[in-house]
Order: sequence, then structure tokens, then C-alpha cells
Amino acid sequence: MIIDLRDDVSAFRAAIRDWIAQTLPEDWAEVAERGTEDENVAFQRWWFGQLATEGLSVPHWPEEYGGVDLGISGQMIVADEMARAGAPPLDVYIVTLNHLPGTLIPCGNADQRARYLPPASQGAVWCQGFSEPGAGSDLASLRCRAVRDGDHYVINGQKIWSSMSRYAQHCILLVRTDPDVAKHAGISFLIMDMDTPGLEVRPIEQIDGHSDFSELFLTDVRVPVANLVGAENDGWRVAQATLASERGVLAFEAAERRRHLMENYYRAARAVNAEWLDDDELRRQFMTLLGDLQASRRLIRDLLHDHENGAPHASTAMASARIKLYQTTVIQKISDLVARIEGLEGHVRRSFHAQSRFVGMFDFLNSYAWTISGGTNEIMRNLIAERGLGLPRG
Amino acid sequence: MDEMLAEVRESIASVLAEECPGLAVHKFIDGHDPLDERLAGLAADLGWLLIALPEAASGIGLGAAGLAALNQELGRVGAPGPFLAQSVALDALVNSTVANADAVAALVGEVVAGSATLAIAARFDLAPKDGMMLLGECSARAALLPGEGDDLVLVDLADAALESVVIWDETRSMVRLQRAAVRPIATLAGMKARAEAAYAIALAADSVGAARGILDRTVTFMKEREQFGRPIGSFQALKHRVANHLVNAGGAEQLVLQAVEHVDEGGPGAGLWSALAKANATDAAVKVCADCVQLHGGVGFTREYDPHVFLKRVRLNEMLLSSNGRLRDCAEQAFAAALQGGHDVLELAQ
Repeated sequence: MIIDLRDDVSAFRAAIRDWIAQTLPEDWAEVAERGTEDENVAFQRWWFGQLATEGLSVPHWPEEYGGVDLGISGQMIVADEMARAGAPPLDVYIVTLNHLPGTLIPCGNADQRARYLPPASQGAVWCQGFSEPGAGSDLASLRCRAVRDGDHYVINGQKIWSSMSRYAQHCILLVRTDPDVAKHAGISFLIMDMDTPGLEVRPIEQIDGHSDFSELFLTDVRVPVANLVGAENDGWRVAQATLASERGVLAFEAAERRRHLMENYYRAARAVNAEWLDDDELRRQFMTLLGDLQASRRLIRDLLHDHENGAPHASTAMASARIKLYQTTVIQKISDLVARIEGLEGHVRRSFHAQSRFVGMFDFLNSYAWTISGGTNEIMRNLIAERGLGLPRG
Repeated sequence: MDEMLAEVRESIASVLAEECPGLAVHKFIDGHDPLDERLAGLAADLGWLLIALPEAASGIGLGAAGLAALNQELGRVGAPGPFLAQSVALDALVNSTVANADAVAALVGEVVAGSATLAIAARFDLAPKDGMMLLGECSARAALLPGEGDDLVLVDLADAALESVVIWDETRSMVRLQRAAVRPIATLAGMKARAEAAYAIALAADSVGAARGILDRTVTFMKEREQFGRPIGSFQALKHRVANHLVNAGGAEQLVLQAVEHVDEGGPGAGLWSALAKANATDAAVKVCADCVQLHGGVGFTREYDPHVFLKRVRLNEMLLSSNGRLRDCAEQAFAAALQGGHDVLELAQ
């Protein structure tokens, strides 16, 4: 397996590069572009299976659960090669690969780890039920109510912005188990099977034409008490582990993908002497953003090196907020520029799944997923100003 | 190398924190204190202009990284004096084929020792002409100007007709060379690209330093200044602006480092990244410094407070070397050439 080469950095890198070239169908991006969301997810499942054959699906997991405890620099090599090849991003597995192990390994019990992690390493899809219509940036005000009934919780309420939950088998769910205490103190963390009676998943139609997100409606949904992660009413602490589980490798991969997209976009434009190259404003803005993207790639590398060297949480958390704000703003500006370059052609409606090239209005609209999700950029600014610069709370 | 760079930077920063606080800069621009002379003396004693120079020229050998560190720390405190022009001119002189010519070597020695100063052409994208502006002082001994093609020319200012110009940035000096036909001391063959890269890095680093410096002071001000019974720094509308400025200054700083790496390697990305660093960093710094005027409210409009010092300084930086639009065009041409030549100028070490 390729993963066995991990200690020889250049051999590891070369083997991944060769293997992707041999394994990934040459026309996959065009096929994906024409395909539906369901077909795209099916393709991701196939790709995940292929990665698993080489030990590349969950390499960062502990050995006990099918990984090899691959460190950050090894993960960066894998992500870099995937970005370089424009390999399919594993959007449907983001919670499975990161948040699930990031929660169950430190906070779950042995039964839960044994029961859920092996199937997850084989491609079981997990989703997250955290946000609610009334609890977005202020997550701790969540109201989805769980009441104990014997050895079950009975849950009523609503969740929103649950990515890929249409395809998920399980959900990590935050519920309110005690409404009479301070908001952070009455929350519990549960695992819910997505086929439980009383659970309804309604896709949300997004501004970019996709439906990655869904709403979850829970009516008398019964979840076994055995599915409690951590202690009852200690869910806020568990959720912090979940939210801290992704260290920046995803942001690294996103930045690396854009580096190649920008380079390819420019090469293609030069090859045909595209009109926008003669437009001072557009051409110069392209160069401005090439510089800003390079800066963001350097920032994310610094953060990952800090993680690898065990820098204190307070400093990496602040760097994460700064990078999130900077990088997502750059991504948005790039998509804004591409929309202007493509002009009217960019308005011909197309949805797009492959992410192997820029697509005018689609990318522009989709860029708001970056600036809103994962903590809105406004929340990032608050964090930077208050915890980073020490400005007083309002 | 990294450790030595950090030490050098820390040492410059601590000397400047002591010698060049805001009050001292204000005394200087009000004509009450020759801070520029004191700093020039310190620079000579401490060898600041030797930091970037190669060891063969008795320097410390920190190259573009040292050039950036020095200028960033000077920018951070708005230090008065001709350091930027001198650091750029020295880099070109000692790395040129005429470095060991008697006249050049003697001049370099005097400049490093603080007994002579150098000027450089304000813009490198225009051929020398009567009335052109130089960045430097009226007393400058010599100036580095763009020459034919890829060359630079070092000219003697002893008998040149120089007109001093009062500029808005009171921390630096500019002069007008009334007649461009002045006595050449030496031709620096093929040095234009290197000097442009050094100039770009110095300007970008000075601007990042200035942006960070005034942003720090503005945040302090926002914690102290109270209105409606609370510090103005508690208002979200203002907080969000300083958060943006902080991350944008951080991005610009990374671009300086990007340029430094490529210039020190001497690879095909040197022109691309130095031009982009100057363009993006000065644009970003102007936005930060301008908004620091606004964030100070009424006192931001006064001469008494700091923001105008930094705003004027970075606006001058923005105009030097070449317009940012033209620099982006140069960067684009360099990018196209690199791709065509099969050079991966975007690659970063992991």
C-alpha cells in the first residue's frame, strides 16, 4: 500500500502522484460536471473506496481504527497531491473523516468507538446537527429538546445547515437536556441514526443551485441513552473537541486547489490571448489576487507547522480565525473577478460539481459558503478584535 | 540564518522603540530635534546598513531578508532618515561588477560609516530627465539612476544642481535634479532588475511596518478613548475594521517574505514577487493607514497625533519605484515568461 511509504517523503509523494494518474479516469471532471449531485456523491464513494485500497482514506486516524496516525506534514503531502491532480474533493466525508474521530476518540466510550469508527473508515457517511434556525453564530442558545424516557431520549426540535445529511447514515447531534441552567450547561451530545422514525430531512435549495445543506425536523425521535457522548449536560465541552478536530488541512487543500485553478485559468487565457488580458483592470486585479492567494498559502502553512510543533491552542486558534477571514475573502474576490471576466457567458446557468475549473457566477455565488459557514467572517472579526487585539466586548 | 535574522530584527526594534517613539518623531518633524542625525549615527555604530550586504563586502550577509527586516522596523516607527534609499543603493553597488572600483568602494565605506549619504531615482520606470525627483537628501554625495537598458548609473551629485522639495512625508527627503546631465561615477551593468527588486522589497517592508505600527497605536487609542460611557474599541463597527486591517497587513507581510525568498535565491520568480509585494503591500498599507486617521476621529485630523505621519509615508512609498498598475503589468509579464520557461514560480516549500 502507498501509505507504507510514508516515511520516505519523496517516494510517498511520487507514489501518490503516479497512483492518482493511473486510477482517476481522465474524463472524470467533465463527467462530474454534467452529472447530478447524486452521481457526484456516488463518484466520491467510489473514490473513497479507491483511496482505502492504498491506505489513503483515513491515514490520520489511529492505527486501532484503520489509520496510521499520519502527522500533519504527511497529511499535507496527500492533500497537496490531491489538489495538484484536481482529484475529487471528498465533500461528503468531511464530518466522517474529521469531526467524528475528533469527537469519539477523546470523548466517546470504548463501545462507541468500536461500533462507529470501523464502518466510518470504510465510508459510512456522517453529518452534523448543531445549528438551528435560532442558533447560528450563537450556537449555545440551541433549543432542540431531549427528554429522558427510560433508556431513551425523546427529541423534538429542528436543525439546519446540516451538510450532506441527505446522504448520511449517522448524525452527531447537539440537544438541550436541561433548559433551566445557563445555556452552555444544559447541552448534551448524541449520536443519532438517520433512519430513526420521526426524523425528516428536507434539502435546502441554495443560491448556487445545489442542495448540500438540509434541515432536520425531529418529532419524538427516540435515541438510546447509550448514544450519549460524554456525560449528560456536558455536550458543550464535547462539541469543542468536535469543532477543534479540523486543524487546517482542509483549508490547506482548498488553497492549493485554487493555486492550480488560477494557474490553469491564466495558462488557458494566454493560450487563446483572451480579451481580458488586454483589460488593465481585470489583468491587474488577477495579479493582485495571485499575490493575495500566495500570501494565504503561506499563512496556512505556518499554521500547520505550528500545529505540528505543538504550539499553544490560544495562538493557533487566533491564527485560524485570521486565516479563515483572509483566505475566504481572497477566495471570494477571485470568484468575483472570474465572474467579471466571464461577463455574460458566466450568466449562462450551470451548476457545477467537479471543482476542476472556475465557473463564473456559480463560483461567485458559492463563495458565500466560505465566508458564512464555519463561523461567519463577522464572528471571526469579533474573535480577532476581542481575543487577539484585546478590544473590549460590546 | 533565521535565528540571526530574528536577533537582528529584535535588536533594531528595541533600539528604535527606545530612540524613536512617536513623541520623538513629532519633535523631529516640528524641527525641535535632529532625530534623523541621531538615528544615522546609531545606524553607523550598529552597522544597520551592513545587515543585508554580502560578507565579501564586510556585511552580515542577510541579503533581501535583512533589507526587509531593517526597512520594516524603520517603517513601524516612522523613522526619519534616508535609510530606505541608502539600503537599496548599497545593495546594488556592492553586488555590481564595479563594487571593487576605487571610487565605488570608497563611497560605500563612507556611506556605511555615516559620513556620506546616497540618493536614488524616485522612479525607475522613467529615463532620467531634467527635473526628475530623487529620494534622498540635498547633501547626498551620489545618486543611483536608471541607465541604458538593464544598466544603472551612479552619478556624482557634488556639482549637480539640486533643488530641495518640501514633501508631505516629513520623515523622508526628496530633491529635484534640475539637470539630469551629471557626471557619471560608474555604470552598474545589468543591475537594474536587482535594484528594482531590492527597491520594491524595501518599499513593501517599510509599508507593512508602517501599517502594523500605526494599527497597534490605533488599537491602543481605541481602548483608551471613551464616548457614550465606553471605550470606542467596544463598538463592533470599529472593531471589525481593525480586524480586517490586521489580517490584510499580515497578508502583505507574507508577500514581502515571498519576494525575499525568491530574490535571495535569484530565481525566475524574483521580478514577479518583488513587484507584486510592492504593489499589494503599499495598496494595503495605504488603506490601513488612511482608516487609522478615520478611526482616531477628530484628533486623527490633527498634526499632533500619529496617523498622518504614517499615512503620508506609505502614500509616498506607493508612488515610488513605479506605479502599482505598471508593477502588476511587469509581474504579469514575469509570470507569463516563467510559465513559458517551465518555471514553477508558485511552488512553496512544505
